[in-house]
Amino acid sequence: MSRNVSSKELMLTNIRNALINKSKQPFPNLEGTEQVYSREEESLEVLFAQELKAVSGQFVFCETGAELVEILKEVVSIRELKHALCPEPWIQELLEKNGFSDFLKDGAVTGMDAGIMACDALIARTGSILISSRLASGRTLPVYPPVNIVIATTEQLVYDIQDGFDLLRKKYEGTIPSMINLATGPSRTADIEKTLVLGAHGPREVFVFLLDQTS
Amino acid sequence: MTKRVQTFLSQSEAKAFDKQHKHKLQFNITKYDQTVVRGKQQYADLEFVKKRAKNIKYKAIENLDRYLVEFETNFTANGGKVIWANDDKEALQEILKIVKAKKAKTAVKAKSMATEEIHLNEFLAEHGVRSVETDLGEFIQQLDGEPPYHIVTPAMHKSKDDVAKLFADKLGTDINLTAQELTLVAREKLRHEYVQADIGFSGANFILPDIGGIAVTENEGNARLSTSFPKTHIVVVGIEKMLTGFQDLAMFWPLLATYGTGQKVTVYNTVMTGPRKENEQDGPEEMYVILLDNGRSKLLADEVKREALYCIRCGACLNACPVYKNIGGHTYGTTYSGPIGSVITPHYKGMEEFSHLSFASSLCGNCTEVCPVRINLHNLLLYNRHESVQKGLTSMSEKTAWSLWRRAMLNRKTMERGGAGMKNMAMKVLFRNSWGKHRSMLHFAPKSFHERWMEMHPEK
Repeated sequence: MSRNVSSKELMLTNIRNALINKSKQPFPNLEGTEQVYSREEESLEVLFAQELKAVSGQFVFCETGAELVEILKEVVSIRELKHALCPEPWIQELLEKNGFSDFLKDGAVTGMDAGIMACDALIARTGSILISSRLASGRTLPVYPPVNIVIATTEQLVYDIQDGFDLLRKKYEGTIPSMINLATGPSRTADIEKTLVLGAHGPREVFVFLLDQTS
Repeated sequence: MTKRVQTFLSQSEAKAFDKQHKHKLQFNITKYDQTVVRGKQQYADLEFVKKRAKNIKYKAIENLDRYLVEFETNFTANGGKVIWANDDKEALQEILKIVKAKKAKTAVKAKSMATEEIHLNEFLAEHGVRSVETDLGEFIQQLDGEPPYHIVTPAMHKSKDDVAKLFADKLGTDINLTAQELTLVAREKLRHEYVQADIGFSGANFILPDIGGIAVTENEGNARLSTSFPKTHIVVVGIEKMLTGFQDLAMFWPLLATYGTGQKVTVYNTVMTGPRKENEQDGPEEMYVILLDNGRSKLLADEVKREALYCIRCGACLNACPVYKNIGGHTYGTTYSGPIGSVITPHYKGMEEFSHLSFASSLCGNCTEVCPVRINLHNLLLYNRHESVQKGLTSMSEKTAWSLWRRAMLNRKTMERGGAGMKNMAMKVLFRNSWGKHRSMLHFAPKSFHERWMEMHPEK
């Protein structure tokens, strides 16, 4: 340990000595709140749906929980999904009340066809899902099973990443989660000849069910 | 001329005239160029964002000591452990201590240039730890026993057929697999590795002092998996990856994506602030962040060249560079290639051995033009040249040539002594070696402009 303290001191001393000569700020008069992103005139819902689709994600808008259940059943049957984990209590309750009991299993995340989970925010501008390790889905469920199903509510939908961060801050005030992740569409790679392949290591398919909270 | 320079010159020549190599590189970079145009469309005022990004990196680097301490305080409060490593040896020794304490046998590794810099895989292998690269491009390179070719696209120089052949040789798969099928082979193989590995290694794109966290950007999900299953997560990160705080990410994530791969935002952007917390489902039991100096504070000491530390490693300057496009990534013989590599490597690893890289540039300025944090890359190459000349690292013949050139140019009489024939001869003698054999020598006109002017205006 004593060696480590001296390593720290050595590095900090080197850095402080290096910084004795200050450099000039590159753009000293650059202040302003200009709109840096090109903003579309669409509603947040439409914008999110477009952006998620653009990154090969799938968007489902549901006016009621019943509608959500119905469409989810279709997805499960078309994709022939056998088992899924859904640790988020309110979603679990909704699904178990509606005939998903056999589908939802306890067990290792590695044996699941899908992960069903909540999120902390949806980002309309980029079609992204903001999650954290504080959610019941934790770190592994969002990224190991081949299909990822996110159930969000309209009040979680915000315009930009910055707004999502604000929601996070309010929600977890004081105790930051050990992991925060912004996920945008299914896992992908273009490492072989720039050919786009979905499902590199994470999920091949990402569904976002947006539940209208106003109805 | 050092051996390194000789190798650089001969490999440059070999690669520049290798048509197949050029074709693969051109194919990749053309596709990159096309997608970057789309990525930039998200901005209404991109120039403003680039300037703001540079201001933020300026602030982070100018106060680096303060931010590093702030990071340590907050990360430690989150339950993480910070290790300060002044060089590669120190970093490796600290890693070895953890490996031994955990009795680790296997590790999964997300893509990280800092771990390339310290040659982590070789070191782990020497100490009986099997370390598996999980990024597809790095996985391919590891199978082939090669270092990454490009900081963002590690297997850029390999065609689909090259990869299919490599997989067939090493993994016994069919030689005709498609890109899709090859990716699936890697996916299936690596799924098992994440789950059973003792240690997960990653780098970091950003350090966040205010929350005591690091951020990792990736598309594949391999870094997410490598940092979620293993009980120990070790991060190796260069100290210059500092930002001023968590909120900066909202700007830097889209910026890195735009210039790295032409996406609006990369698929997975992950902030990690420590090991699993009590009220959390899963995650590592321990998390270490190794803060690596390894030459960076030397570059920091130069207040002009310091801005090279603002680099966010998007790879845009490599893709834009006519030299990189001709000689390719491996020819540089460095961890960091392309313009940014030529700027920083002489400071990290010694001007004596690496100053030649600063001369291997046409100074066209395209690197500066494309840099998302507006680093004056081609100016910094010039500053490196200046430093190398000041340190007397140029050859005796070049010094002599320039001193004679200077003397001639400063005096009209000396300049015009002897005719064009003499001048042509002098050029040949002075610059025979440095001029380059693929470039035709200067050819002087029989009479200089001055001589002709005097003839046309005899009254003056």
